[in-house]
Amino acid sequence: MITYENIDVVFDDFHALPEFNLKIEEGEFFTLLGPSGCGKSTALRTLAGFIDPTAGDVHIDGKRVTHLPSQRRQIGMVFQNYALFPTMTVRENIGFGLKVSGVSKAETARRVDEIAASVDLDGNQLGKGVTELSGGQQQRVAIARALVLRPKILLLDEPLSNLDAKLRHQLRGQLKELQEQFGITTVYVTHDQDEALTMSTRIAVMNKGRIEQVGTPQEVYMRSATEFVCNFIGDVNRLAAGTVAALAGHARENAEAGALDARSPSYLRVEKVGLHTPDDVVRGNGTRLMLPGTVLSRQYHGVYSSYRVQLAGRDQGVVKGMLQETGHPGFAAGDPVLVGIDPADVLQYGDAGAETEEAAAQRTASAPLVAEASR
Amino acid sequence: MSTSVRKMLRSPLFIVVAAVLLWFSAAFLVWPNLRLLGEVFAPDGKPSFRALERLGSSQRAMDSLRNSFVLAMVLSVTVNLVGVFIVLATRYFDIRGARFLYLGYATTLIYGGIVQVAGYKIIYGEQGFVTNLLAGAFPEMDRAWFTGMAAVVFVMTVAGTGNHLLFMTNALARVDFQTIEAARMMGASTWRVLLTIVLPTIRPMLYAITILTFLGGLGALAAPQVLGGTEFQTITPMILTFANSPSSRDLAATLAIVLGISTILLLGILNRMERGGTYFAVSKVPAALKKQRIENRWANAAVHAAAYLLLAVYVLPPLLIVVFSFTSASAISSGTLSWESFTLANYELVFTDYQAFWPFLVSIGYGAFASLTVVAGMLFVARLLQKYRNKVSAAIEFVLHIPWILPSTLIALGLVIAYDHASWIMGNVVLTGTVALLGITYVILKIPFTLRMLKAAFTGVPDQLEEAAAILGAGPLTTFRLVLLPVVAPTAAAIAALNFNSLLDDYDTAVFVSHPLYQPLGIVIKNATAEDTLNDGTALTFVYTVLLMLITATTMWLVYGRPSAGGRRKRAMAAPPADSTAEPANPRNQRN
Ligand SMILES: Nc1ncnc2c1ncn2[C@@H]1O[C@H](COP(=O)(O)OP(=O)(O)OP(=O)(O)O)[C@@H](O)[C@H]1O
Ligand SMILES: [Mg+2]
Repeated sequence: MITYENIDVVFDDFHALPEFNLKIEEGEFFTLLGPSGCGKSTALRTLAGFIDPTAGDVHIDGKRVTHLPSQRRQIGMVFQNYALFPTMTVRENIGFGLKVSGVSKAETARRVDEIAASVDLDGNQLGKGVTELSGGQQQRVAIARALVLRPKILLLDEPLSNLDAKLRHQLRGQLKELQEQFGITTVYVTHDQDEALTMSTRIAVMNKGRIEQVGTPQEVYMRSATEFVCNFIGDVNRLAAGTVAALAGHARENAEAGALDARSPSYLRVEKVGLHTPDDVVRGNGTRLMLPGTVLSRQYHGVYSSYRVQLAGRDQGVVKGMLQETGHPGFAAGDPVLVGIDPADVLQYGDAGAETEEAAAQRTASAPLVAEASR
Repeated sequence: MSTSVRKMLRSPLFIVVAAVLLWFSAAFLVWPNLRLLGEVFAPDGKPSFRALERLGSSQRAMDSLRNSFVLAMVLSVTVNLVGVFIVLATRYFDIRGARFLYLGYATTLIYGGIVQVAGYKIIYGEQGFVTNLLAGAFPEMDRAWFTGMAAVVFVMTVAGTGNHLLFMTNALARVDFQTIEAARMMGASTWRVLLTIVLPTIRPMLYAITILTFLGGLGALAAPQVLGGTEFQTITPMILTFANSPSSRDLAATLAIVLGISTILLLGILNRMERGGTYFAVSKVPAALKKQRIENRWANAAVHAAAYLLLAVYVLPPLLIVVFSFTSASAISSGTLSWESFTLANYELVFTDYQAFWPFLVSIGYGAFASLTVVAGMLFVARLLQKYRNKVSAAIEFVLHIPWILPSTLIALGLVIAYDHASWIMGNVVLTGTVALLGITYVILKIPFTLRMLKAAFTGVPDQLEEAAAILGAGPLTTFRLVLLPVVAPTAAAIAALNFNSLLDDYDTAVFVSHPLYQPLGIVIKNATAEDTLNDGTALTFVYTVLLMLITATTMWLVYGRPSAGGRRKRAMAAPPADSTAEPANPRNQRN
């Protein structure tokens, strides 16, 4: 188990991690997610022992390691650029940790072979210089090098960001499988929400050195705790004042839709926006409010298309929605549409951008994801 | 990014290196120069300006000051004229045989300093081969025609253009050819493009070269000493003369300080220009230069003629030296070369006679010792300075650059004066007059260049490599040995080779501090020029020179010129980048 306790990291006068608290459980695939510069690497490097926190403590398995040098923390790490030793072969790279800790040559060779096999590196590649390998192969060498010492914890700092999109997707799965196979506690850093959602057991969403929310991918996505998280994860519409007012009025009329505050910042996930032709029969669901609008543009994505729609009502602004490309002919720019929104799908945040406890409790208790705004 | 001093003090490696470094800097970089100042301004422990007064009333000293500044100014003009011309002729204009021309001009890169001066004297001097030939044709000519200011300017101009070959060529290669094409499309002529586009772009580089040339002229030793005759002596030879007589040592120190202050001022200007100036094109991918044709037929012919005439001027001396190294002295002096006069005897002598080989051995010994020592020491220092950035490391770095700011004459003189008696800072060991002093001086002089290059090399090593090693269990020293060292080793080797090269034919430093029984090549070659007649010693000088040229050419080729077998990457790692190694801001490397 890893614990950050009141950690504070200061660079010159800049608090990169002010009052950082976090617990990571044994065997977890834990992801630090956030925009560039939010302090993800700083948090990871503090755990690795590369950064001395100005205040606070780091514990691993109940042992205080705050000032323990990196080499004594039993941590493996994969760096963003892999940091493979350029003058050594693949074998020498993987065996480096064993060599410096005095493991015999024969034992080293055996363990290097073993770990290489588990990351799909063949004997031919072991003899090569690391600069001769492709990006994906280099990444596997980096992972093998980190795992061969059988560390208790594996740290990965954006290990996929140097690869092309296709390989990145493919390696996500492999990485996750490897982690499960070794059962190793893993801390993963990324700014890619997709990576975080697909791979993690839990995610900490960070912003400006602070943790905004910790939770499972589902929790973070479906019940974003703050305005920041809501915006950062997934694709959302920020609803215009006129739309929110209309939805709030509609909610008052339909008691089962819950209540909305017309003045709070309100968001709606893109996939929750219904798009209908004007002559579509409005199906049974009475909680849905239908707003007329005109299609501004369409973007074809293959599996689906996304649309930007100008709502007709006063101050109702533009919303973005999407439709699966399955049979439905879709809309063209200029087409009239009906936009269906369920007030229960609207995410609302108080001015401070944080949900009230009451609202959070209500949301976790009841299925509709409506948050009562606070004042 | 700065690292706290506290963190720095936690590294044991740092503490050891820092302790050694502090003592070294204090003892060799700071104290000798303070002693020199003391010698001038407080000879008896009391402030005094007597030395300055004495200097003012010494006709010879004042003449030397004037001559030095005149020489520096004249060279600034002549070196630029010739240098710009040869670079344009080989790299800008479409001249036939440009490659061949470039190779010829480049002889100045493998043949400089005392070796070159001696070569010119032996060929054009009173007993010289060319003089003999000329005197045969014009019996009443003045045999001492190649002496005085004109001779000094001539020799130093040829030597000085090496800077243009190295740096201006580089700057020219970075001129964005698209701007030239654009101008041509708007109807500009070849000359207009040259004057309005190309030269302005490389102007900052030309300024830098000019300052270096000026400094080279100001501090010149070998050329004025050997060729200046009695009427054209300059500061440094005068410092040498004064330093050798105890009663006028204060004059030597005073002149050295004048030279030092002038150097600091000029380098200050250079530094400002470096900071504010854009040396190179902004465009990311400048289009490669295409050679420009000179349209006017007559102009074209004139430029071709001038280029080949200059080639003859450049190549004749080294060529004759190679030829003479295979002939007997008598054949040279009588000017009668026939097939029978060619022999390998001179080479045999150098390699079989211990006496003849000795100076070579001394030079190789000192060169190898100093170049390896300085690289080994600076490896640690460079890494620590690059890694820990704060006020302390900045101060250390500044002090280590002192040998770059001050003329070598001043450094050498400072050491001689500071350690000619027991001094506690040196553990009461007297250094002056010992074998060790020249080695130490060489190490000191090579510090700035080595440090800069190694720091650059370490900068190219990502921090993560060290972190990766640390997290895999390696301690700082293991990491240094197994991870960092192999990465910078090729660069370190290249730097050592360049250092070795430039020390091999040193004269300027050795003449101040060398031990009489361990005189390096430079001094032996210089002494050979003092002989009235051509003798076997002269022939030996030719052999030494040829060997030196061979070694230098080989080193240059190994460091810069190897065809890039392993692709660009490998080569970039092996050799420090050409612009930075051959950086103009390193007068020590280029000064004659
Ligand atoms: N050594 C340092 N000195 C000063 N400031 C630093 C240092 N390291 C990081 N910072 C600052 O701390 C903040 C957090 O940096 P960090 O590298 O942890 O961000 P990150 O979330 O990993 O971002 P990225 O996605 O770009 O890697 C940034 O504002 C950065 O500029
Ligand atoms: Mg980062």
